[in-house]
Amino acid sequence: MWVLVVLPHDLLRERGNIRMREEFCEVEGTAISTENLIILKARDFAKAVEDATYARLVECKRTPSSSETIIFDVEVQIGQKTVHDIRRFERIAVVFEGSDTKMPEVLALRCDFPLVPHLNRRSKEFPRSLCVTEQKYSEWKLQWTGAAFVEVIREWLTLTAKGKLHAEDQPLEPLLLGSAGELILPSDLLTKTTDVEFLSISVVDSGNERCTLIAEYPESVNENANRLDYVATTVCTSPQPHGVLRRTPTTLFELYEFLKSSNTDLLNVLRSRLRVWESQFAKEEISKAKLVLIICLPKTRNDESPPETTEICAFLTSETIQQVSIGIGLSAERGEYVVPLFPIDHSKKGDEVRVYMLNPVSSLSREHAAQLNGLSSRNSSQIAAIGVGALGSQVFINLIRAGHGEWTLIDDDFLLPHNLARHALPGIFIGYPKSRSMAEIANHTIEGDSIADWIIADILTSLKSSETCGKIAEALSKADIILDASASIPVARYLVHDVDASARRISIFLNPSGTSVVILAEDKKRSMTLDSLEMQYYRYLINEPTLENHLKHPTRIRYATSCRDVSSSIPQDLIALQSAICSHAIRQITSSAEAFLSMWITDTSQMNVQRYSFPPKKPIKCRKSDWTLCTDGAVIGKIYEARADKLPNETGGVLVGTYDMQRKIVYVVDAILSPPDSKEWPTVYIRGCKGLSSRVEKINQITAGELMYIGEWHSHPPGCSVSPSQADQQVFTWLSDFMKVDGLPPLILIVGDPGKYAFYLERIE
Amino acid sequence: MHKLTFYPLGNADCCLIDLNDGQKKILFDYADTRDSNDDDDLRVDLPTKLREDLEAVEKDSYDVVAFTHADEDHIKGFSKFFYLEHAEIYQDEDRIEIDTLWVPAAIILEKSPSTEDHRILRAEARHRLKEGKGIRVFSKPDSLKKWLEDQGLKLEDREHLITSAGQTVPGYKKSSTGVEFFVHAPFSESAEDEIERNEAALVVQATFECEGEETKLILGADVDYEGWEEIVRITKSKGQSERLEWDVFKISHHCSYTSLSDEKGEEKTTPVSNVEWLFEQGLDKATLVSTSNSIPEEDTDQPPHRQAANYYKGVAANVDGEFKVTMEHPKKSAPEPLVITIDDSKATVEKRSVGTSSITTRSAPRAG
Repeated sequence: MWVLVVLPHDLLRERGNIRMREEFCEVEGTAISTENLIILKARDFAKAVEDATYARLVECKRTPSSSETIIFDVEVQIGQKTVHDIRRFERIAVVFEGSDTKMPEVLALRCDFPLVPHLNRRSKEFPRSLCVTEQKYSEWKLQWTGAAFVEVIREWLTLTAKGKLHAEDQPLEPLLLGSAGELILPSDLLTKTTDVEFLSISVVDSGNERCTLIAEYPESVNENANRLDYVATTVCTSPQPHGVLRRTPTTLFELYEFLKSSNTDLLNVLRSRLRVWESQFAKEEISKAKLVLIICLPKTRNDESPPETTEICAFLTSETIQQVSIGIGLSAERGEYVVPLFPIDHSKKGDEVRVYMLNPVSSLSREHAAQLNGLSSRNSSQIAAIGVGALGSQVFINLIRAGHGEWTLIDDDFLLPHNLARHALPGIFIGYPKSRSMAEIANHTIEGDSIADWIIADILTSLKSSETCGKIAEALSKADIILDASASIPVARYLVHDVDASARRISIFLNPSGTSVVILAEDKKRSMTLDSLEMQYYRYLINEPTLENHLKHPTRIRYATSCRDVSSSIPQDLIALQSAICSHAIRQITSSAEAFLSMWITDTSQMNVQRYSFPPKKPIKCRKSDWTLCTDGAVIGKIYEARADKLPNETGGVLVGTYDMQRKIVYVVDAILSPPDSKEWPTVYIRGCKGLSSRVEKINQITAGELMYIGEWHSHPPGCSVSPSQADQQVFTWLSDFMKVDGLPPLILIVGDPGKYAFYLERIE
Repeated sequence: MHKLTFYPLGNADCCLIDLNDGQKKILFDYADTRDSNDDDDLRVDLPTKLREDLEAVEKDSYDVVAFTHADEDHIKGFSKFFYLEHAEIYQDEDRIEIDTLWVPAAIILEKSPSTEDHRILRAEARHRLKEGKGIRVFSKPDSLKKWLEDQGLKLEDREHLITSAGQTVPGYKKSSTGVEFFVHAPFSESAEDEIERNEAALVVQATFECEGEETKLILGADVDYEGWEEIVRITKSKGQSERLEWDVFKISHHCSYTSLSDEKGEEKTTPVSNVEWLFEQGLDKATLVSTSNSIPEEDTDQPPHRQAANYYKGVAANVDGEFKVTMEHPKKSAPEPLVITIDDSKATVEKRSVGTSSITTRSAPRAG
């Protein structure tokens, strides 16, 4: 029992600040001295209060149920201006239970203590119960001291006075106030302005006699979900400045009374809904279900302004719908039958229907997921992902958990036991397609419309004109980003050359040992395409001695298979690390329009990760008969520098690069400068060969067979044209004789004065 | 956020003003009163505290050091702490520099300094005024003009370094620096021949701005009731009574009744009417700060006077504010600097419990 009583505030008088008397709620129990406190924490706390500079013990009490209460005044640090009416001196009671299983309840005893955020709801409005910490009591107990608890209370009051107590939605402390359980709601329920008359509810056993109720719109419910154990209905009140429940209603009638102040006649609403349900559902189906009431209280700052927030509270009725129906005068018992009443008995107002408060929790929406990942805004790009293997699946799930993107997953593979060592999917998916299974996981993680769609197909081999192929084309053409996690060079090249879509392509892949991850991303305008970035990546590998072993296979060097072919013995922790880097980088990349070329190398002994970032160069492309030649400014620049170095003499060297024979593309990736035994004269250049073949071999080895010798280059003196001289033509013929053997086109590059250079490929004109 | 720190120095003054989280630091008065040979002296070790405070923001100078007047309880020991420009003996390396020195004209014009510190302060102020930099002089009596002429200087050439009562201090704006100083005293005539130092003292109202909220501080030096009467009379006659509004009032003369009236009163001093009016200008939840020893329970000759304290307590209660005594905060047995923060909550008296977190900020007691 709490009754009002007037107590003198002697602390105020003592400090010489004479004020009007304040009224305090009386605390139950009999007064005892501090020495007679039995509960250890209560003793400790009373001692702390006595010692504290800014607190003063008033009295201690013990109740018949053996809880002990410490009543004291605290001096609060507050400014002249306060957001909430917290006073410089507040009288507080802390109630300790002998069992010490829950947070000691903190009560503000002042009778007019304001309604502020972070109060615990209790069955009576006063005294107000302060929710002083979000930490679990079981955790806090380890560090609990009386002095710290005094400070936590003072801090709560200080921050509440300023209106700065962390205001994020926080579930009520269920231990204190016996919430009947959690109710998971569709996240958009908050924004609905009209009632949702019917929601179905499924129940999950949460262990230790707890249950979680999950409310869903009827259309999203599995048809086969047979029995209706619980059903829910929502009631939105009209917006008003105050819509906060000050105490917990315990019966339907009390809830009705409370909602009357929001111009809502709950009983009438319920009567008409139940009548409709009776006609909609088979009687036995609905009448045994229990009713959950979801009340939406839109709150406004003042009477004119639109609602700023909606507070949701939910109640579970103890009775079945049939009992509720009787309780509100809609039907009545006649012998062993329950019959509808016409007219309705308005004298029945539900005062016998008990209600229990539920703790409403919103499902994880895309936006909320982004928020919980600390992101200020959500990225909603359309992403088509090719390949959901070990890396792809983990990158995908990282991004999904941040609400990032709207996805289509394209992969033909299905899950096998050995995949479980590194794939994001758990064993229940064995035998199922990876793409569909991953999409299902995502769609169960993020609520609402599907965040991920799937296509079970291999992008390279799906037959043109097939239905699947049409679906792939559609997914790719609507994408903002095509994410290639296929670890396959052919797929990356296919995406560049053979897919008609404006999306930015991003490739992510691991090196064979899994110690580093590479990300190649096109710029938004696609002026730097994936194939060109791939070549630049090779160039960095061959020019940076520390990267020499990057593509080295952990056990043997395999020229035959692709360099991105992931070894089957990479540890999952490395994949998780690289996936984390990828998903984080992808978030950065998608927020900028620039091209991106980076790799991260993990030193597995110390677990340091080092990033190598290279500024991407714009590709230079030209057509040569039926070939396309592709290079970039870095190659040309390097050659010009060598020429300037040697002027007035000519100089030269060889070109390294690679071919795409299928599409007839030559990639000129780097130039090797003049070997030391070359002859360099003002009008003649004879390339030597000292160290050349070992260098070319090394390049081939570093790039796991990707880069090779592709041709020759030399310079012309100032003022001369870059047309081939007679001698040049002879060199070209000599060269084609060699290249022909391998079925490759001869290539010569001649550079003259700055800006003047010419490639001669296959034939010379 | 701005911050005021009043140091517990017994009956003596030192108020540090931190503007915008310490970007600028302004010191009003400096009196190192603690007896370092007396372990039971509860007064704060001022030079050490100030050094620690400066080191925390890696500064070795104050933007302004203002001396309201040259009495011992406002300047004691300053010549051991500050870097002084007029003589090399005050220029050892670890001294704290003063960018701009603020003094009332009386300090420069004083003919017979009462203490060594007073003499040194006069020399420093005179030096800076002659040099024409690093100084601001308050009030412009005729004798100042004469003194300048004796030094071969013209008043016109030093005019920009002089601020008179009724003006705001140049270079300080609420909008940019976060504070404006309005000068109430000294009046020019108070620096004339017969110098009564308390009357010739510098009295300002500082108006702080933070996130759109204004907070007003009055620093009352050691002004007596006649001085206050004069300030109130003049301010009212100019129609500027808002210049005497206050959120924080540094009570004059260590809670002496003489700042309220010529009568001490039995239990409570009754101020003369203009002074009573001044204390009615306190804004909601304003704070009065008595930079003094603990309020005694019995009658005393020296301040603080319990009768005056009783009056100030009543003033605080009327505005639901607080009356704080530097040597009683947070408790008489262990006074700590009184910190008042100024932000969008206006003034907040800091009430931190001193716990283990502060152990590493102080040296440990001598171990046996």
